[in-house]
Amino acid sequence: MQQFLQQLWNGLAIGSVYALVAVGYTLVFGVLKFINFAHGSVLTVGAYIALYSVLRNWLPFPLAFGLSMSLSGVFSYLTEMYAYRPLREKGAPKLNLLITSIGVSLLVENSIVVFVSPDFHPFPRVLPSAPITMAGMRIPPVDLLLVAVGLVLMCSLSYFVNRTLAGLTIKAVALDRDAAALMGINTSKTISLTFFLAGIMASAAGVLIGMRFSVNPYLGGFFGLKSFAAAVVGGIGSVPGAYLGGYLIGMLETFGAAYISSNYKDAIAFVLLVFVLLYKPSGLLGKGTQEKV
Amino acid sequence: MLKIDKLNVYYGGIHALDDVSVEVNTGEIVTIIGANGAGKSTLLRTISGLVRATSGKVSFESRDIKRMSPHQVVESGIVHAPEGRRVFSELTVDQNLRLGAYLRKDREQMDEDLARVFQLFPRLEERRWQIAGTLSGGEQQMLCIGRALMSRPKLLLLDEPSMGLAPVLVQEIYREIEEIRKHTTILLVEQNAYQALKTADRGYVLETGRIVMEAPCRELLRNPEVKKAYLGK
Ligand SMILES: Nc1ncnc2c1ncn2[C@@H]1O[C@H](COP(=O)(O)OP(=O)(O)O)[C@@H](O)[C@H]1O
Ligand SMILES: [Mg+2]
Repeated sequence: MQQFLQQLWNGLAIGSVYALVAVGYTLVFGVLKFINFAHGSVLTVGAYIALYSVLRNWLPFPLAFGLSMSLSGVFSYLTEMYAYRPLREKGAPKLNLLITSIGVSLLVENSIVVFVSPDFHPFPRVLPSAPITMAGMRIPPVDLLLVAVGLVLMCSLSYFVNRTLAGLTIKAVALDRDAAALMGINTSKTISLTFFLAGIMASAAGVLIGMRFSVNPYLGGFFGLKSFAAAVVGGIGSVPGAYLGGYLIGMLETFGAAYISSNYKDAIAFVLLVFVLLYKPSGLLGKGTQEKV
Repeated sequence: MLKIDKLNVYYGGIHALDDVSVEVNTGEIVTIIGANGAGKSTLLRTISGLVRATSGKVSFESRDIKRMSPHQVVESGIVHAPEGRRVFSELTVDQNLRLGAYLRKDREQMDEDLARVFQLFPRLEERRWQIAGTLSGGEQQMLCIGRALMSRPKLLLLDEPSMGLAPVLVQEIYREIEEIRKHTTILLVEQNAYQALKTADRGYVLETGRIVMEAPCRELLRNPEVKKAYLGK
């Protein structure tokens, strides 16, 4: 039982990371109907911004965290502005966008290796490292922060998208871009806003996962791919689906590692992906639209 | 109010609008009738900025609007209720209407307009919290028009409001259009020529991208060619 609770908690922590990143894939897919493979690199950029702000003593950790989130949001916004928008305006096919996004992600990863450092950096100690004991579970403080920050951000995002007029424009553009434009919505601005929000969420995940493991140039590639799987499992385009997919993969991974074998841990997300696609191609909470990736 | 002069629109090689000139004066209902594929929707989509014209002029209240993007056109006072309703199917009726008022700043006026839309379409009030995709075709058409009115347009572009509706519902929608015209100028596009000509003041006949006739609707209703081609008599 103790063991079970402990794994449940671990799954929740890692699931928060997947959910935070997955929601970005889903939001961007909603408005542009393409998979932004550069989304993972926003996570890496976010982790590095926080790392250097703290390492160089520029800012105390909470401010560094905030700075990382806002700058990563801006970074994500700029990728859309300078890489995808010109292509869209020329009416380029979706495939070109997809390939460009893969290019952006390689560019970011390699730029970090060349211009920053190829090393794995442990995150400076900003939280106490001694685990907190709670109901027999041993919980590292960073996990507590991960779960809490994840919940707060996810609830805020859902509130924003469903309950505010600015947020509703994201849904409107996702449902019918022309009709949204006919309401007087500046759809380009809405798309920018979507990338900005996706960037904020991913960077929060990046900073926290960097603290839990280490900050390295491949952080985004690794967590991005699994989070993409989470978004598809939950139903790409669905925000609650992204959360569900994220937590589900987090749980299955930790339970799989604990009760089956840790060798298969990284394969579990993709096995689940294959099963879901076989039995419910639109994902667990997805609408049955036939949109090709 | 709206002046379209020698407008040309192409889709690749298809010449969809060929030197089209149309004028709408304040307070009028003007209709454009024509068969399927004549270019009626293309004309409205060009006015609202969704489609770009190759040449010609579009001016609204003496301002050139041809190069404006759709949201700027809405800002200038033209709103387009598109063909096929295009309501936001996963959002509620209330959310659809709020999005219709997206550019409005004044909360109080907005509530007033919401009340006016509900007065015009009481069924929308009954279904206010329902998901738009679950409404019937007629109700979706009401929502599409109501949503457009929420921006308080000076000019309303209506694309085939009667499409796919049972005759009773068509009657109902047209009664409401009569009501709307008291405050709003309307450019109405229809395949259902009889209804449109009965309602509007002036009409144009569009054939494969060209305006072939323009006259007061009374005259068009009596015109033998129009009768034969569009009224089935
Ligand atoms: N997006 C498009 N791409 C290419 N051709 C189009 C497009 N939309 C309309 N057309 C063509 O332009 C012509 C006019 O279409 P449309 O304006 O929809 O006519 P209507 O509304 O009168 O039925 C038709 O021949 C149609 O096939
Ligand atoms: Mg049409």
